[in-house]
Amino acid sequence: MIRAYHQPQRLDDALALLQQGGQAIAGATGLYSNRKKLDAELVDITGIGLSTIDVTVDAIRLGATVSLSQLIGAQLPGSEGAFLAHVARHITAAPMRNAITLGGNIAHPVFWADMPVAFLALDAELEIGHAGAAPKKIALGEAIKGQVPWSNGGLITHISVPLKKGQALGYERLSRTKNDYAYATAAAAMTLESGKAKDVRVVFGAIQPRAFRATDIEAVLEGKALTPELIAEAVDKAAAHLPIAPNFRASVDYRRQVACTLARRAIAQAFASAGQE
Amino acid sequence: MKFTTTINGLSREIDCDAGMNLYDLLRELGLKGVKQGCDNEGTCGACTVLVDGVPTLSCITPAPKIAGHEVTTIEALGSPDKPHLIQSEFVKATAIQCGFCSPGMILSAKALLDKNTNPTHEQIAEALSGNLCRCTGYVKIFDAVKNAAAALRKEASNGK
Ligand SMILES: Cc1cc2nc3c(=O)[nH]c(=O)nc-3n(C[C@H](O)[C@H](O)[C@H](O)COP(=O)(O)OP(=O)(O)OC[C@H]3O[C@@H](n4cnc5c(N)ncnc54)[C@H](O)[C@@H]3O)c2cc1C
Ligand code: FES
Ligand code: FES
Repeated sequence: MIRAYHQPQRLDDALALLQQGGQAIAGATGLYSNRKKLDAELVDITGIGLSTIDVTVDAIRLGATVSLSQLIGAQLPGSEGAFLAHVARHITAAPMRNAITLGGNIAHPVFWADMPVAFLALDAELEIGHAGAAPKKIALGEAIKGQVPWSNGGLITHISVPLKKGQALGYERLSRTKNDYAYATAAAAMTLESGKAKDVRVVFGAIQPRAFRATDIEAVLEGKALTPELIAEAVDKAAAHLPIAPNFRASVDYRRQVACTLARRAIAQAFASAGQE
Repeated sequence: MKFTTTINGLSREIDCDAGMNLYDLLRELGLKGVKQGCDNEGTCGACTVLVDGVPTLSCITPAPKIAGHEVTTIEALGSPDKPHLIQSEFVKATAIQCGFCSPGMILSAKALLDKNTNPTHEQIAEALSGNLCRCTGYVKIFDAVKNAAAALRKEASNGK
Protein backbone atom coordinates (compact mmCIF):
# COMPACT_ATOMS: atom_id res chain seq x y z
CA MET A 1 0.00 0.00 0.00
CA ILE A 2 1.17 3.52 -0.74
CA ARG A 3 0.84 5.10 2.68
CA ALA A 4 1.61 8.69 1.72
CA TYR A 5 2.56 10.71 -1.35
CA HIS A 6 4.89 13.57 -0.48
CA GLN A 7 5.55 16.38 -2.94
CA PRO A 8 8.41 18.40 -1.49
CA GLN A 9 9.48 21.61 -3.21
CA ARG A 10 13.09 21.65 -2.02
CA LEU A 11 15.94 19.13 -2.31
CA ASP A 12 16.66 19.31 1.44
CA ASP A 13 13.06 18.48 2.30
CA ALA A 14 13.11 15.54 -0.11
CA LEU A 15 16.37 14.22 1.36
CA ALA A 16 14.95 14.50 4.90
CA LEU A 17 11.87 12.48 3.85
CA LEU A 18 14.08 9.86 2.19
CA GLN A 19 16.23 9.66 5.33
CA GLN A 20 13.06 8.90 7.31
CA GLY A 21 12.42 5.86 5.09
CA GLY A 22 10.52 7.38 2.17
CA GLN A 23 11.03 6.00 -1.33
CA ALA A 24 11.84 8.31 -4.22
CA ILE A 25 9.44 8.46 -7.14
CA ALA A 26 10.23 10.38 -10.33
CA GLY A 27 8.59 9.47 -13.67
CA ALA A 28 6.64 6.71 -11.88
CA THR A 29 6.87 4.43 -14.94
CA GLY A 30 8.84 1.76 -13.10
CA LEU A 31 7.18 2.06 -9.71
CA TYR A 32 3.58 2.43 -10.83
CA SER A 33 3.38 -0.62 -13.05
CA ASN A 34 3.89 -2.48 -9.75
CA ARG A 35 2.01 -0.10 -7.52
CA LYS A 36 -0.32 -2.66 -5.94
CA LYS A 37 2.69 -4.49 -4.48
CA LEU A 38 4.29 -1.37 -3.00
CA ASP A 39 4.41 -0.75 0.71
CA ALA A 40 5.91 2.70 1.02
CA GLU A 41 5.67 6.40 1.62
CA LEU A 42 6.57 7.94 -1.72
CA VAL A 43 8.59 11.11 -2.14
CA ASP A 44 7.99 12.71 -5.54
CA ILE A 45 11.25 14.36 -6.55
CA THR A 46 10.04 16.06 -9.73
CA GLY A 47 9.32 19.38 -8.03
CA ILE A 48 12.66 20.01 -6.32
CA GLY A 49 14.57 21.73 -9.08
CA LEU A 50 16.38 18.75 -10.60
CA SER A 51 15.07 19.14 -14.16
CA THR A 52 17.85 21.47 -15.28
CA ILE A 53 20.51 20.97 -17.94
CA ASP A 54 23.77 22.93 -17.67
CA VAL A 55 26.35 22.93 -20.41
CA THR A 56 29.94 24.10 -19.83
CA VAL A 57 32.97 23.80 -22.11
CA ASP A 58 33.90 20.47 -20.66
CA ALA A 59 30.73 18.84 -19.42
CA ILE A 60 26.98 18.41 -19.68
CA ARG A 61 25.38 18.32 -16.24
CA LEU A 62 21.91 16.80 -16.26
CA GLY A 63 19.46 17.00 -13.37
CA ALA A 64 18.15 13.59 -12.28
CA THR A 65 14.53 14.42 -13.16
CA VAL A 66 15.26 15.52 -16.73
CA SER A 67 12.90 13.37 -18.83
CA LEU A 68 13.95 11.48 -21.95
CA SER A 69 11.79 13.84 -24.07
CA GLN A 70 13.49 16.85 -22.50
CA LEU A 71 16.91 15.33 -23.21
CA ILE A 72 15.97 14.63 -26.85
CA GLY A 73 14.63 18.15 -27.35
CA ALA A 74 17.58 19.91 -25.69
CA GLN A 75 19.92 19.83 -28.74
CA LEU A 76 22.93 19.20 -26.53
CA PRO A 77 26.41 19.86 -27.92
CA GLY A 78 29.10 17.53 -29.13
CA SER A 79 29.04 13.94 -30.27
CA GLU A 80 28.03 13.21 -26.65
CA GLY A 81 24.84 15.30 -26.91
CA ALA A 82 23.82 13.69 -30.20
CA PHE A 83 24.59 10.23 -28.79
CA LEU A 84 22.44 10.77 -25.67
CA ALA A 85 19.51 11.94 -27.80
CA HIS A 86 19.95 8.98 -30.16
CA VAL A 87 19.87 6.45 -27.32
CA ALA A 88 16.92 8.14 -25.58
CA ARG A 89 14.90 8.29 -28.81
CA HIS A 90 14.93 4.50 -29.05
CA ILE A 91 13.44 3.89 -25.62
CA THR A 92 9.77 2.78 -25.70
CA ALA A 93 7.21 5.26 -27.05
CA ALA A 94 6.54 9.00 -26.99
CA PRO A 95 4.27 9.29 -23.91
CA MET A 96 6.58 7.07 -21.87
CA ARG A 97 9.55 9.22 -22.82
CA ASN A 98 7.65 12.24 -21.50
CA ALA A 99 7.65 10.58 -18.08
CA ILE A 100 10.84 8.47 -17.75
CA THR A 101 13.58 10.41 -15.98
CA LEU A 102 17.34 9.93 -16.28
CA GLY A 103 17.76 9.29 -12.55
CA GLY A 104 14.91 6.78 -12.57
CA ASN A 105 16.36 5.01 -15.61
CA ILE A 106 19.69 4.60 -13.81
CA ALA A 107 18.27 3.73 -10.38
CA HIS A 108 15.54 1.30 -11.41
CA PRO A 109 17.33 -2.06 -11.50
CA VAL A 110 15.99 -3.60 -14.70
CA PHE A 111 18.17 -5.36 -17.25
CA TRP A 112 16.64 -3.45 -20.19
CA ALA A 113 17.62 0.07 -19.08
CA ASP A 114 19.28 1.85 -22.01
CA MET A 115 20.58 5.11 -20.54
CA PRO A 116 23.05 3.47 -18.11
CA VAL A 117 24.70 1.79 -21.12
CA ALA A 118 25.13 5.18 -22.78
CA PHE A 119 26.25 6.91 -19.58
CA LEU A 120 28.79 4.19 -18.86
CA ALA A 121 30.25 4.53 -22.36
CA LEU A 122 30.43 8.30 -21.78
CA ASP A 123 32.28 7.87 -18.48
CA ALA A 124 29.52 9.71 -16.61
CA GLU A 125 29.70 10.73 -12.99
CA LEU A 126 26.78 10.81 -10.55
CA GLU A 127 26.16 13.28 -7.76
CA ILE A 128 24.51 11.67 -4.76
CA GLY A 129 22.67 13.63 -2.09
CA HIS A 130 22.09 12.49 1.52
CA ALA A 131 20.27 14.42 4.25
CA GLY A 132 22.68 16.52 6.30
CA ALA A 133 25.75 15.62 4.20
CA ALA A 134 27.65 17.31 1.40
CA PRO A 135 26.83 15.90 -2.07
CA LYS A 136 29.17 13.10 -3.15
CA LYS A 137 30.47 12.43 -6.64
CA ILE A 138 30.99 8.89 -7.86
CA ALA A 139 31.68 7.39 -11.27
CA LEU A 140 28.62 5.52 -12.58
CA GLY A 141 30.74 2.40 -13.13
CA GLU A 142 31.69 2.39 -9.43
CA ALA A 143 28.19 3.24 -8.26
CA ILE A 144 26.56 0.21 -9.85
CA LYS A 145 29.03 -2.32 -8.48
CA GLY A 146 27.49 -3.85 -5.36
CA GLN A 147 25.36 -1.78 -3.00
CA VAL A 148 24.28 1.38 -4.81
CA PRO A 149 24.97 4.70 -3.07
CA TRP A 150 21.38 5.87 -3.48
CA SER A 151 20.07 3.17 -1.14
CA ASN A 152 19.47 4.14 2.51
CA GLY A 153 18.10 7.59 1.93
CA GLY A 154 20.45 8.59 -0.89
CA LEU A 155 19.33 10.28 -4.08
CA ILE A 156 20.92 10.70 -7.50
CA THR A 157 20.71 14.47 -7.99
CA HIS A 158 22.77 14.98 -11.17
CA ILE A 159 24.57 13.10 -13.92
CA SER A 160 27.64 14.73 -15.47
CA VAL A 161 28.92 13.74 -18.87
CA PRO A 162 32.42 14.90 -19.77
CA LEU A 163 32.75 16.45 -23.24
CA LYS A 164 35.85 14.96 -24.84
CA LYS A 165 37.24 16.51 -27.98
CA GLY A 166 36.89 14.18 -30.94
CA GLN A 167 35.09 11.47 -28.98
CA ALA A 168 33.38 9.03 -31.32
CA LEU A 169 30.51 6.86 -30.23
CA GLY A 170 28.42 3.92 -31.38
CA TYR A 171 25.22 2.40 -30.01
CA GLU A 172 23.40 -0.70 -31.14
CA ARG A 173 20.22 -2.22 -29.82
CA LEU A 174 18.11 -5.14 -30.99
CA SER A 175 14.55 -5.66 -29.88
CA ARG A 176 11.60 -7.55 -31.29
CA THR A 177 9.68 -4.34 -32.00
CA LYS A 178 11.00 -0.81 -31.78
CA ASN A 179 9.24 -0.24 -28.46
CA ASP A 180 10.20 -3.52 -26.84
CA TYR A 181 12.91 -4.30 -24.33
CA ALA A 182 16.23 -5.11 -25.94
CA TYR A 183 17.60 -8.63 -26.32
CA ALA A 184 20.97 -6.99 -25.90
CA THR A 185 22.57 -3.58 -26.34
CA ALA A 186 26.15 -2.50 -26.95
CA ALA A 187 27.90 0.86 -26.90
CA ALA A 188 31.42 1.91 -27.83
CA ALA A 189 33.37 5.10 -27.23
CA MET A 190 36.86 6.13 -28.34
CA THR A 191 39.02 8.92 -29.67
CA LEU A 192 41.45 8.66 -32.52
CA GLU A 193 45.17 9.47 -32.30
CA SER A 194 47.28 9.08 -35.46
CA GLY A 195 44.73 6.61 -36.79
CA LYS A 196 44.75 4.54 -33.58
CA ALA A 197 41.87 4.02 -31.17
CA LYS A 198 42.42 5.59 -27.75
CA ASP A 199 40.44 5.46 -24.49
CA VAL A 200 38.30 2.66 -25.86
CA ARG A 201 35.22 1.85 -23.82
CA VAL A 202 32.91 -1.02 -24.73
CA VAL A 203 29.70 -1.50 -22.78
CA PHE A 204 27.07 -4.22 -22.80
CA GLY A 205 23.48 -3.81 -21.66
CA ALA A 206 20.41 -6.00 -21.27
CA ILE A 207 22.42 -9.17 -20.69
CA GLN A 208 22.97 -8.69 -16.96
CA PRO A 209 20.88 -6.87 -14.34
CA ARG A 210 23.18 -3.87 -14.79
CA ALA A 211 25.22 -2.57 -17.72
CA PHE A 212 28.95 -3.31 -17.57
CA ARG A 213 32.20 -2.56 -19.40
CA ALA A 214 33.90 -5.32 -21.36
CA THR A 215 37.45 -4.51 -20.28
CA ASP A 216 38.88 -7.57 -22.07
CA ILE A 217 37.57 -6.33 -25.43
CA GLU A 218 38.76 -2.79 -24.68
CA ALA A 219 42.28 -4.07 -23.92
CA VAL A 220 42.62 -5.80 -27.31
CA LEU A 221 41.53 -2.68 -29.19
CA GLU A 222 43.34 0.02 -27.21
CA GLY A 223 46.05 1.79 -29.19
CA LYS A 224 45.39 -0.08 -32.44
CA ALA A 225 44.15 0.92 -35.88
CA LEU A 226 40.89 -0.95 -35.94
CA THR A 227 40.03 -3.30 -38.80
CA PRO A 228 36.94 -5.48 -39.09
CA GLU A 229 39.22 -8.48 -38.46
CA LEU A 230 40.68 -7.05 -35.26
CA ILE A 231 37.24 -6.03 -33.96
CA ALA A 232 35.90 -9.52 -34.70
CA GLU A 233 38.91 -11.12 -33.01
CA ALA A 234 38.49 -9.00 -29.86
CA VAL A 235 34.78 -9.71 -29.57
CA ASP A 236 35.05 -13.40 -30.48
CA LYS A 237 37.70 -13.91 -27.78
CA ALA A 238 35.32 -12.50 -25.17
CA ALA A 239 32.21 -14.21 -26.53
CA ALA A 240 32.48 -17.58 -24.77
CA HIS A 241 32.66 -16.09 -21.27
CA LEU A 242 30.33 -13.15 -21.86
CA PRO A 243 27.91 -13.45 -18.93
CA ILE A 244 24.37 -13.68 -20.30
CA ALA A 245 21.65 -13.83 -17.65
CA PRO A 246 18.84 -16.03 -18.95
CA ASN A 247 15.44 -14.48 -19.56
CA PHE A 248 12.24 -15.57 -21.28
CA ARG A 249 12.80 -13.48 -24.40
CA ALA A 250 15.29 -15.70 -26.16
CA SER A 251 17.89 -18.38 -25.48
CA VAL A 252 21.23 -17.52 -23.93
CA ASP A 253 23.04 -18.68 -27.09
CA TYR A 254 20.96 -16.46 -29.32
CA ARG A 255 21.40 -13.43 -27.07
CA ARG A 256 25.17 -14.12 -26.93
CA GLN A 257 25.33 -13.98 -30.72
CA VAL A 258 23.18 -10.86 -30.78
CA ALA A 259 25.29 -9.12 -28.10
CA CYS A 260 28.54 -9.93 -29.95
CA THR A 261 27.21 -8.76 -33.31
CA LEU A 262 25.95 -5.52 -31.74
CA ALA A 263 29.32 -4.96 -30.05
CA ARG A 264 31.19 -5.44 -33.35
CA ARG A 265 28.85 -2.98 -35.04
CA ALA A 266 28.99 -0.38 -32.26
CA ILE A 267 32.81 -0.48 -32.23
CA ALA A 268 33.03 -0.26 -36.03
CA GLN A 269 30.52 2.59 -36.06
CA ALA A 270 32.49 4.55 -33.46
CA PHE A 271 35.81 3.95 -35.25
CA ALA A 272 34.35 4.96 -38.63
CA SER A 273 32.90 8.18 -37.27
CA ALA A 274 36.16 8.97 -35.47
CA GLY A 275 37.89 8.66 -38.83
CA GLN A 276 35.61 11.33 -40.28
CA GLU A 277 36.75 14.08 -37.92
CA MET B 1 -4.99 13.20 0.29
CA LYS B 2 -6.34 16.53 -0.90
CA PHE B 3 -5.23 18.72 -3.78
CA THR B 4 -6.53 21.15 -6.38
CA THR B 5 -6.35 20.57 -10.10
CA THR B 6 -8.04 21.58 -13.33
CA ILE B 7 -9.82 18.90 -15.34
CA ASN B 8 -11.34 19.81 -18.70
CA GLY B 9 -11.27 23.49 -17.84
CA LEU B 10 -12.95 23.14 -14.44
CA SER B 11 -11.09 23.68 -11.19
CA ARG B 12 -11.60 20.67 -8.88
CA GLU B 13 -10.84 19.83 -5.28
CA ILE B 14 -9.73 16.21 -5.15
CA ASP B 15 -9.69 13.97 -2.09
CA CYS B 16 -8.25 10.54 -2.93
CA ASP B 17 -6.05 7.74 -1.63
CA ALA B 18 -2.34 8.55 -1.71
CA GLY B 19 -1.77 5.53 -3.95
CA MET B 20 -4.46 6.20 -6.51
CA ASN B 21 -3.47 6.47 -10.16
CA LEU B 22 -4.84 9.13 -12.47
CA TYR B 23 -6.72 6.51 -14.51
CA ASP B 24 -8.84 5.35 -11.54
CA LEU B 25 -9.40 8.93 -10.42
CA LEU B 26 -10.73 10.02 -13.82
CA ARG B 27 -13.04 7.01 -14.08
CA GLU B 28 -14.33 7.69 -10.57
CA LEU B 29 -15.10 11.22 -11.68
CA GLY B 30 -17.20 9.74 -14.47
CA LEU B 31 -14.68 10.41 -17.25
CA LYS B 32 -14.87 6.98 -18.81
CA GLY B 33 -13.18 7.92 -22.07
CA VAL B 34 -9.93 6.71 -20.51
CA LYS B 35 -9.64 3.02 -21.31
CA GLN B 36 -7.48 0.23 -19.98
CA GLY B 37 -5.96 -1.81 -22.80
CA CYS B 38 -3.02 -3.41 -20.98
CA ASP B 39 -2.18 -4.34 -17.42
CA ASN B 40 -1.96 -0.65 -16.47
CA GLU B 41 1.72 -0.87 -17.27
CA GLY B 42 2.22 1.74 -19.96
CA THR B 43 2.19 -0.45 -23.05
CA CYS B 44 -1.08 0.33 -24.89
CA GLY B 45 -1.86 4.06 -24.70
CA ALA B 46 -5.64 3.57 -24.34
CA CYS B 47 -5.48 5.52 -21.07
CA THR B 48 -3.75 8.58 -22.62
CA VAL B 49 -4.79 12.05 -21.42
CA LEU B 50 -3.11 15.42 -21.83
CA VAL B 51 -1.45 17.03 -18.82
CA ASP B 52 -0.63 20.65 -19.66
CA GLY B 53 -1.00 19.58 -23.29
CA VAL B 54 1.52 16.72 -23.01
CA PRO B 55 0.41 13.12 -23.75
CA THR B 56 0.48 11.24 -20.46
CA LEU B 57 -0.40 7.63 -19.63
CA SER B 58 -2.93 7.97 -16.82
CA CYS B 59 -2.44 4.37 -15.65
CA ILE B 60 1.15 4.91 -14.57
CA THR B 61 0.65 8.48 -13.39
CA PRO B 62 0.10 8.92 -9.65
CA ALA B 63 -3.08 10.98 -9.22
CA PRO B 64 -1.35 13.53 -6.92
CA LYS B 65 1.01 14.45 -9.78
CA ILE B 66 -1.78 16.48 -11.40
CA ALA B 67 -2.02 18.88 -8.44
CA GLY B 68 -1.76 22.39 -9.87
CA HIS B 69 -1.81 21.11 -13.46
CA GLU B 70 -4.39 21.00 -16.23
CA VAL B 71 -5.79 17.69 -17.45
CA THR B 72 -7.64 17.26 -20.74
CA THR B 73 -9.60 14.09 -21.46
CA ILE B 74 -11.49 13.13 -24.61
CA GLU B 75 -14.71 14.41 -23.02
CA ALA B 76 -13.44 17.98 -23.39
CA LEU B 77 -12.87 17.75 -27.12
CA GLY B 78 -16.33 17.39 -28.54
CA SER B 79 -19.66 15.65 -28.26
CA PRO B 80 -21.53 13.37 -30.70
CA ASP B 81 -23.55 16.43 -31.78
CA LYS B 82 -20.61 18.76 -31.97
CA PRO B 83 -17.44 16.73 -32.56
CA HIS B 84 -13.99 18.28 -32.59
CA LEU B 85 -12.46 18.59 -36.04
CA ILE B 86 -10.03 15.75 -35.33
CA GLN B 87 -12.90 13.52 -34.20
CA SER B 88 -14.83 14.32 -37.40
CA GLU B 89 -11.83 13.42 -39.53
CA PHE B 90 -11.43 10.10 -37.68
CA VAL B 91 -15.09 9.31 -38.47
CA LYS B 92 -14.80 10.43 -42.12
CA ALA B 93 -11.67 8.33 -42.69
CA THR B 94 -13.31 5.33 -40.94
CA ALA B 95 -10.36 5.35 -38.58
CA ILE B 96 -12.54 3.98 -35.80
CA GLN B 97 -13.63 0.38 -35.62
CA CYS B 98 -14.27 -0.76 -32.02
CA GLY B 99 -13.23 2.68 -30.75
CA PHE B 100 -11.28 1.42 -27.76
CA CYS B 101 -8.02 3.08 -28.81
CA SER B 102 -9.70 6.19 -30.23
CA PRO B 103 -9.72 8.51 -27.17
CA GLY B 104 -5.98 8.01 -26.66
CA MET B 105 -5.24 8.13 -30.38
CA ILE B 106 -7.18 11.39 -30.84
CA LEU B 107 -5.60 13.06 -27.81
CA SER B 108 -2.09 12.12 -29.00
CA ALA B 109 -3.02 13.50 -32.43
CA LYS B 110 -4.33 16.69 -30.81
CA ALA B 111 -1.09 17.23 -28.88
CA LEU B 112 0.81 16.91 -32.18
CA LEU B 113 -1.51 19.14 -34.22
CA ASP B 114 -1.61 21.83 -31.50
CA LYS B 115 2.11 22.31 -32.15
CA ASN B 116 2.39 21.38 -35.80
CA THR B 117 -0.37 21.49 -38.40
CA ASN B 118 1.90 20.22 -41.15
CA PRO B 119 3.41 17.02 -39.71
CA THR B 120 5.39 14.55 -41.80
CA HIS B 121 4.51 10.87 -41.83
CA GLU B 122 7.42 10.25 -39.45
CA GLN B 123 6.23 12.92 -37.04
CA ILE B 124 2.76 11.36 -36.96
CA ALA B 125 4.29 7.92 -36.37
CA GLU B 126 6.35 9.35 -33.53
CA ALA B 127 3.36 11.13 -31.95
CA LEU B 128 1.20 8.00 -32.11
CA SER B 129 4.01 5.61 -31.15
CA GLY B 130 2.48 4.96 -27.73
CA ASN B 131 -1.02 4.19 -28.98
CA LEU B 132 -1.84 0.67 -30.11
CA CYS B 133 -4.84 -0.10 -32.29
CA ARG B 134 -5.81 -3.76 -32.56
CA CYS B 135 -8.56 -3.56 -35.14
CA THR B 136 -8.64 -0.56 -37.49
CA GLY B 137 -4.96 -0.74 -38.35
CA TYR B 138 -2.90 2.35 -38.76
CA VAL B 139 -3.35 3.41 -42.40
CA LYS B 140 -6.75 4.99 -41.86
CA ILE B 141 -5.69 6.52 -38.58
CA PHE B 142 -2.72 8.17 -40.28
CA ASP B 143 -5.05 9.34 -43.07
CA ALA B 144 -7.37 10.87 -40.45
CA VAL B 145 -4.51 12.77 -38.80
CA LYS B 146 -3.23 14.01 -42.19
CA ASN B 147 -6.75 15.11 -43.17
CA ALA B 148 -7.25 16.84 -39.82
CA ALA B 149 -3.93 18.66 -40.31
CA ALA B 150 -5.04 19.79 -43.78
CA ALA B 151 -8.40 20.96 -42.41
CA LEU B 152 -6.67 22.90 -39.65
CA ARG B 153 -4.34 24.57 -42.17
CA LYS B 154 -7.35 25.48 -44.28
CA GLU B 155 -9.11 26.93 -41.24
CA ALA B 156 -6.04 28.99 -40.42
CA SER B 157 -5.69 30.30 -43.98
CA ASN B 158 -9.37 31.25 -43.98
CA GLY B 159 -8.54 33.32 -40.90
CA LYS B 160 -11.17 31.58 -38.81
C1 LIG C 1 6.40 -0.90 -20.75
C2 LIG C 1 7.73 -0.29 -20.43
C3 LIG C 1 8.80 -0.48 -21.30
C4 LIG C 1 10.04 0.08 -21.00
N1 LIG C 1 11.08 -0.13 -21.86
C5 LIG C 1 12.28 0.42 -21.59
C6 LIG C 1 13.41 0.19 -22.43
O1 LIG C 1 13.34 -0.52 -23.41
N2 LIG C 1 14.57 0.80 -22.11
C7 LIG C 1 14.69 1.60 -21.01
O2 LIG C 1 15.76 2.13 -20.77
N3 LIG C 1 13.66 1.83 -20.20
C8 LIG C 1 12.46 1.26 -20.46
N4 LIG C 1 11.41 1.48 -19.62
C9 LIG C 1 11.61 2.38 -18.48
C10 LIG C 1 12.18 1.67 -17.27
O3 LIG C 1 11.76 0.34 -17.18
C11 LIG C 1 11.76 2.39 -15.99
O4 LIG C 1 10.34 2.37 -15.91
C12 LIG C 1 12.22 3.83 -15.94
O5 LIG C 1 13.55 3.94 -16.30
C13 LIG C 1 12.03 4.39 -14.55
O6 LIG C 1 12.22 5.78 -14.59
P1 LIG C 1 11.21 6.72 -13.80
O7 LIG C 1 11.71 8.09 -13.86
O8 LIG C 1 9.83 6.49 -14.26
O9 LIG C 1 11.40 6.17 -12.31
P2 LIG C 1 10.35 5.74 -11.17
O10 LIG C 1 9.43 4.70 -11.65
O11 LIG C 1 9.75 6.97 -10.59
O12 LIG C 1 11.35 5.13 -10.14
C14 LIG C 1 12.01 3.89 -10.40
C15 LIG C 1 12.97 3.54 -9.26
O13 LIG C 1 14.07 4.43 -9.26
C16 LIG C 1 14.16 5.11 -8.01
N5 LIG C 1 14.59 6.47 -8.33
C17 LIG C 1 13.98 7.32 -9.22
N6 LIG C 1 14.70 8.46 -9.33
C18 LIG C 1 15.76 8.33 -8.48
C19 LIG C 1 16.88 9.18 -8.17
N7 LIG C 1 17.04 10.38 -8.72
N8 LIG C 1 17.77 8.72 -7.27
C20 LIG C 1 17.63 7.50 -6.71
N9 LIG C 1 16.61 6.64 -6.97
C21 LIG C 1 15.69 7.07 -7.86
C22 LIG C 1 12.82 4.97 -7.38
O14 LIG C 1 12.89 5.02 -5.97
C23 LIG C 1 12.35 3.63 -7.88
O15 LIG C 1 12.89 2.61 -7.09
C24 LIG C 1 10.19 0.89 -19.86
C25 LIG C 1 9.12 1.07 -18.98
C26 LIG C 1 7.90 0.48 -19.23
C27 LIG C 1 6.78 0.66 -18.27
S1 FES D 1 -3.76 1.13 -19.69
FE1 FES D 1 -2.30 0.50 -21.15
S2 FES D 1 -0.92 2.18 -21.18
FE2 FES D 1 -2.29 2.71 -19.62
S1 FES E 1 -10.37 0.84 -33.24
FE1 FES E 1 -10.35 -0.97 -32.05
S2 FES E 1 -8.42 -0.84 -31.08
FE2 FES E 1 -8.36 0.79 -32.46
